[in-house]
Amino acid sequence: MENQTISPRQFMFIVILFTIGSSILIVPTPMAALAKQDAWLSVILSVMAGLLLVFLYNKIGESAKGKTFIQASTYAFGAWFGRLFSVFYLIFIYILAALVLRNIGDFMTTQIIPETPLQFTHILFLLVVIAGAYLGVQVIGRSAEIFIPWLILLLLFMVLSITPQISIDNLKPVLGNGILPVVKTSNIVIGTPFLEMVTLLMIFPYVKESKKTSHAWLLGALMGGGVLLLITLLCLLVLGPDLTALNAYPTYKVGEKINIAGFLEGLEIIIAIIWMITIFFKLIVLYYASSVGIAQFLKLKDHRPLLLPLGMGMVVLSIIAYPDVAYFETFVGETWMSYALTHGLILPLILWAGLAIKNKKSNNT
Amino acid sequence: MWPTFGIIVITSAIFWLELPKLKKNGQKRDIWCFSVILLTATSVSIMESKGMDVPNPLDYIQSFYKSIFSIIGL
Repeated sequence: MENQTISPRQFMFIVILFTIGSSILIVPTPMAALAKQDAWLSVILSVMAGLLLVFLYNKIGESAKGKTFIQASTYAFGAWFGRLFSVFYLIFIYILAALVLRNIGDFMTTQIIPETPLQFTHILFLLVVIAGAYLGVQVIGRSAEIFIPWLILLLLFMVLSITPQISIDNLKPVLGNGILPVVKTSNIVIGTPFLEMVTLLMIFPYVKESKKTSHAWLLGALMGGGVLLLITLLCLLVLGPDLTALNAYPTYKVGEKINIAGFLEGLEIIIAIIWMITIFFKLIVLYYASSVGIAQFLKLKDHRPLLLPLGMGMVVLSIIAYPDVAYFETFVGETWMSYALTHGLILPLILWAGLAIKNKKSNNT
Repeated sequence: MWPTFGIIVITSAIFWLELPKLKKNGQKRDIWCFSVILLTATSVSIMESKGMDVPNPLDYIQSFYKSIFSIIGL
């Protein structure tokens, strides 16, 4: 589509930001509700499963030979079945982007700017995302490079300043309820950042030096998973499993607890900044992937004209997606895992098989 | 009334912003795809702003997986 490339390092940063974004906001609560004090163990389990998934995606990206997911599916399955295949994939990305937008909107309206209508928060946030997607993947990569040091500094600052509040007793007894709840709960983190990483197959071909890309992806997923583990651990250590499960945004509560000698207080906005940076990048990747995907699906020359109309649709979708938090929780708890599993595991597996057959055929002739 | 008016203003602004670039590229297909997507987005926005029931894709997804689960017997 366009001759833009990013370096493997920038790709790794994008993967890290993508992994942390939005999962940092919504993951600790259900984890602590189900696995209690062992939630951090299930994060470790799911990061391991996530690395396996990334391994699979890397294999697909390599066998696609410089094609995006959409192009590869039409290449492997022909015009009709490939199109059908792409429709499901695109709908998945688009809905996911709308849900991520709603996550940040919900957070802003409940915690920071309660008087502003939800629509306007969404429109303002999306305008910046559209500007980024307009400029292309190269700019996204570079800005990821700029924001990563900020993210690391803020995380480090938060961890250091909350250390006095930590009490190890909150983690005891380790595995008090047996291993089963830990294994069961791990599907939350597998579903929320790792299966969604299938989106990154849309920007995989833009990375130059494709040999290093798989390494960068694995490393990025590992680091992002590490941050998720750190955040979950902090929530458990500071608040304890019960309070973590009760709060809608436990990490924000952790930030409110920061108190250095009664002098340095009210630092929860640091956490909000971390969220905004990471969710911004997650949303920009999703938005870019969906608009480029739709442009490739319709065989358009340029994806840019689609950005603004798609944004209008996304604002509406993010508003109507769920009427209240209860609906969202049942959706995420009951349906999201199977929905993400269909699109994040089964679809890529079929595509992988198709690509393998197609590549073998074209080698023989 | 006002939200609908605002949406129409935004739509026409987007249309005038993008149309010259699309015309310069000289692709009729592109213009058609763009217009259809923009029109869909506008009508959905107006329906939402008037408080009508816009079909929610999440409902369909949920009922789809529920029926699948009931077939396998979970």
